[in-house]
Amino acid sequence: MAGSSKATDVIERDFRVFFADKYMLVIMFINFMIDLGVSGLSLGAMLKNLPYSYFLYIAPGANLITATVAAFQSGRDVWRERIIQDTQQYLLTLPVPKNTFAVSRLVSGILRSVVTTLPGTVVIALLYGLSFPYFLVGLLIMFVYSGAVAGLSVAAASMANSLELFATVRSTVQVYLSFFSTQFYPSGNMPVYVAALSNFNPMTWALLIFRELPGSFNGALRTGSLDVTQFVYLAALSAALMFVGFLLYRRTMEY
Amino acid sequence: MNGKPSTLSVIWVLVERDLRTLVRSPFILINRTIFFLIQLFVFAALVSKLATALGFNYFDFYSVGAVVSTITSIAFIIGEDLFEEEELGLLDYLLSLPFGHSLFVIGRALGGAVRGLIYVTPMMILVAYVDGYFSPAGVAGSLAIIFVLATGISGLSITLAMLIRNANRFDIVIALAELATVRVSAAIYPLVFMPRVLQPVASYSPVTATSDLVRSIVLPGYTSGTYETVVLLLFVGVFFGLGSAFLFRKIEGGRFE
Repeated sequence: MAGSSKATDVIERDFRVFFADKYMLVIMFINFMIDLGVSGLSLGAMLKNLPYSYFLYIAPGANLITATVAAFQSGRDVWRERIIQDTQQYLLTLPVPKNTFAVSRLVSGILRSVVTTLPGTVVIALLYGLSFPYFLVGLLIMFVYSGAVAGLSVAAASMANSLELFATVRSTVQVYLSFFSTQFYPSGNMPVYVAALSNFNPMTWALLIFRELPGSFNGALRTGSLDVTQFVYLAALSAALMFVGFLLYRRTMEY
Repeated sequence: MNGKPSTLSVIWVLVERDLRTLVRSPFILINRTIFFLIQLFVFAALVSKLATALGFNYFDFYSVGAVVSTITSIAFIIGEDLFEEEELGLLDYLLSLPFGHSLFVIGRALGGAVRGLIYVTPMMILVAYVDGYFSPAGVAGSLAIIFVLATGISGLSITLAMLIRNANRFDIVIALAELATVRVSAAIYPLVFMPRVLQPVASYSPVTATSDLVRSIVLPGYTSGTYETVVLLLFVGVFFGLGSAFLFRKIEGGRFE
């Protein structure tokens, strides 16, 4: 069996596990709609004094939060296999090299997250009035961002030996991604320490690029500062976090 | 010695057991405290800077909502505990102990609520302090109202734990229930700014009722009364009943107690 085919098998298994429960996808979309349609609209109505639509400002963040939840399910799967189901040792006896296995788990986490957030990405593209090519750029942002969170989730799952610790790390990461980023407020309004932390937050960079995408309805949000280095920065951050996740997951595979 | 323990001693044993879980869970305590402080001093402080034309102080408004949403979030944990006990096969043992299932639900819901109250008491005191409210009786009254909400949310969480069998789905449903109960309420924004279609739903929310009752105690210019109290008590009654009924159905195969 070729290496790529083995990786595909691992990814396919993770997809089967994840999508075995169709209700989960619906529930995650409802989650996104509550974030966007309840909190987004309410905060947008409350902050009408701003020179831009606050609803449009926070809209991509709702989708990225859904991506965070979906990507963290990868870590949850890894953690359950290690601690609750005790199936990791069995999985490692399968004819898949350990490195391929670890990378495939991360890639499946990214792909599951991108598929889960696809309806949300479509909603954001419609709200921003993005053309199809820029919608595809939006998908690429979701892909790269999901890599960062999948890396974090697998890293957490590899280190935590109790559900409590894993849940704590998950929750801490979600708080960091949401509140120490530009999801709710521009970096110019932040105290220096929050602004400094937000520079190392993949959410900040994903949002920056999303808001700058040239659409018909998000003109007031755009500053015209979009350039490829921002994308490179997001990709580098994501690659670094995935590498950390990979290393820690690999460490759990050694006796 | 009489073989059957008294109702109060059973409830105390169940509450004490959940309190011991609290002591053994320092990570959750630290995490929720940090989350609360970040909500208050980062999120609320920064959004308040943007919300300059509201006619009221958003930071003060949000500070009370942050305590109410934190207790809501903590009270949901009891369902997660039950789900884990069910996964590990421990729940069947617990339900075989010599007391009724309704008592079990009451004990666990109260355990969850007391645990939540211990978490949020320092937070409530901090909020009263930053909002310039210094009456110990008022703070105690606010905590009593919060405790009633926590009991009902614990009942809701237990009901969900009894209804759902898949671990991944339970995780997502609990997160959704937590999100919906907090967001479709006046905890973090006034009802008037919510989409019109949701305003009637949010006005029946126990989280709205609790937030309004506590704000009317701690913050000047806010009022609430009988309506909010009735909504809150009805919520607690309904989810005590449902939690108990679903536990019974799970064990006894379909009938309600």
